[in-house]
Amino acid sequence: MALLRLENVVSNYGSINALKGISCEVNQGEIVTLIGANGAGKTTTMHTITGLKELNGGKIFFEDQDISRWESQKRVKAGIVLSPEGRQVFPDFTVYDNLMMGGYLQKADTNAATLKTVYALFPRLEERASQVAGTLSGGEQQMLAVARALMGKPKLMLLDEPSMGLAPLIVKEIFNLIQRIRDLGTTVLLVEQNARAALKISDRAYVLETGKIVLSGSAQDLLNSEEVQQAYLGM
Amino acid sequence: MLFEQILNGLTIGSTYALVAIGFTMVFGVLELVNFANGSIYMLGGYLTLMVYTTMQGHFILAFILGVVMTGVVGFCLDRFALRRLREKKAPKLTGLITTMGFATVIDNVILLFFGSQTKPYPNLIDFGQFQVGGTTVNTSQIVILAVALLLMGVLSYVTYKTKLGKAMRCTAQNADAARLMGVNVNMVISVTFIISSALAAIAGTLVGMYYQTIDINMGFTIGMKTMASAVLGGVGVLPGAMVGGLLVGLFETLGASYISAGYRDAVAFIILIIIILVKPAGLFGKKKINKV
Repeated sequence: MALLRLENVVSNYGSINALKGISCEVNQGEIVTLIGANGAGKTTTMHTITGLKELNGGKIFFEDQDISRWESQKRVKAGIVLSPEGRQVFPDFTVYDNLMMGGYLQKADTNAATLKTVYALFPRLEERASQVAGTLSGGEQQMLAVARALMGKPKLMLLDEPSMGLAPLIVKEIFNLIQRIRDLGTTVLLVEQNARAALKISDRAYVLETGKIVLSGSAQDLLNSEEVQQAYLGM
Repeated sequence: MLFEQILNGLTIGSTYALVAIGFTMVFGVLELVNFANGSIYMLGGYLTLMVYTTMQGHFILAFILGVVMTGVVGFCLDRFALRRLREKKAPKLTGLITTMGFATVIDNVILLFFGSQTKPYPNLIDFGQFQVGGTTVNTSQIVILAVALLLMGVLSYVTYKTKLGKAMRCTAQNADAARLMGVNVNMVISVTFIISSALAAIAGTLVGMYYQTIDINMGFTIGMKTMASAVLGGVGVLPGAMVGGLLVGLFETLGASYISAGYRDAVAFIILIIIILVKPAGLFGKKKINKV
């Protein structure tokens, strides 16, 4: 059974078609990557899944329930949590308060327990717990954004460009963390420009081009595909 | 004389602060200048008076009912006008003009029902006056200051210590990110409007009783003065609105008694102009750093 299933999803910005009928699915326990150039519709896809962007056609199913018309907060409650593009941590809040906002819909004792797991994954955030998030470095803010999403106890974690603007060493750390998060039982849907690194840790992938899925398959097959190599891996 | 004027200034300033807090909260979560805030303040005063006259003698009950009714009006402004604009992704200016339209509607409905004459307002918080070291202190001043300070304390607690307050502050920082945490942003905005309108109604009633009159023009002036208070303290910052309101009240009372009574209403605008020229972010406002 697919955890998440998109059926012919259409999304417009005014008269511009950002998504022209996308169908894809994410199974329990997988890491699935969406790769594509700028403007292909990757972030729009993430936003329609979380409900930040309304659907103009098609359907979204989560655990076989039609969630197409659900409000964002209901989807978060159901277990779909996005770590957004550009981190978007709450700059005036401390690291700790940011994490607690991640667990906004959870009970206090659940949060206390999750916080331990999160601190084990991100020891640096524990050191900086009382620091204001706006003063963290870019890499730390990205860690915080991922950690904050984990606090929501997601069944499906959506990660939008987690490697954007980060130094290669930190990118490596982030991708390691994504694997560890999956190993802890969270399914991951990843959007990345850094296609090679993303494909290496993924089970399957979809290639998005101007609002349509043009290619899909196992991550290994895509890594070896000539088309992908030329267009996204720079070979 | 000076101490009396300071006390007068702080009393009226504390009511400005209450209205300014509501103004600044709405601005904080929506980045919207609510021009209807002044009219809602006046409406609150009238509603309490109306309920009080219809149910003779139950002032506390009338006060609570008046405040609740005004809160509902504020809720309606958001629910039936502003939320629809947000859903349609209308530009921010449309919302601003909508609040002006809403103010016009309130003003005219009041005009229709109560007429344009100044109405007497019963002062039910006056328990006489007493002397403290040569300064005459009016009990209604003490009541107004106490109510205002209590409300400021409660609001600070709600904003900084409760889950609802944290949700409000998150929405103010980044509404989409707040949504991603599971915050019901529409609910947060509704609550903000209810609080802001209820505060305006409380202030309107207190001022009506203090001056023992109410008229339909009181909304416009207070709207401008609270805007000046909020800008002075730093728009969107809660302590800023509190201090800003107190300072505007203080300055205009001192200006009226030591310069000329005619300058009373001008003082707020002079402060507004100076602040915009000298420290546009306000006393407590943060300079926005645009990160690339």
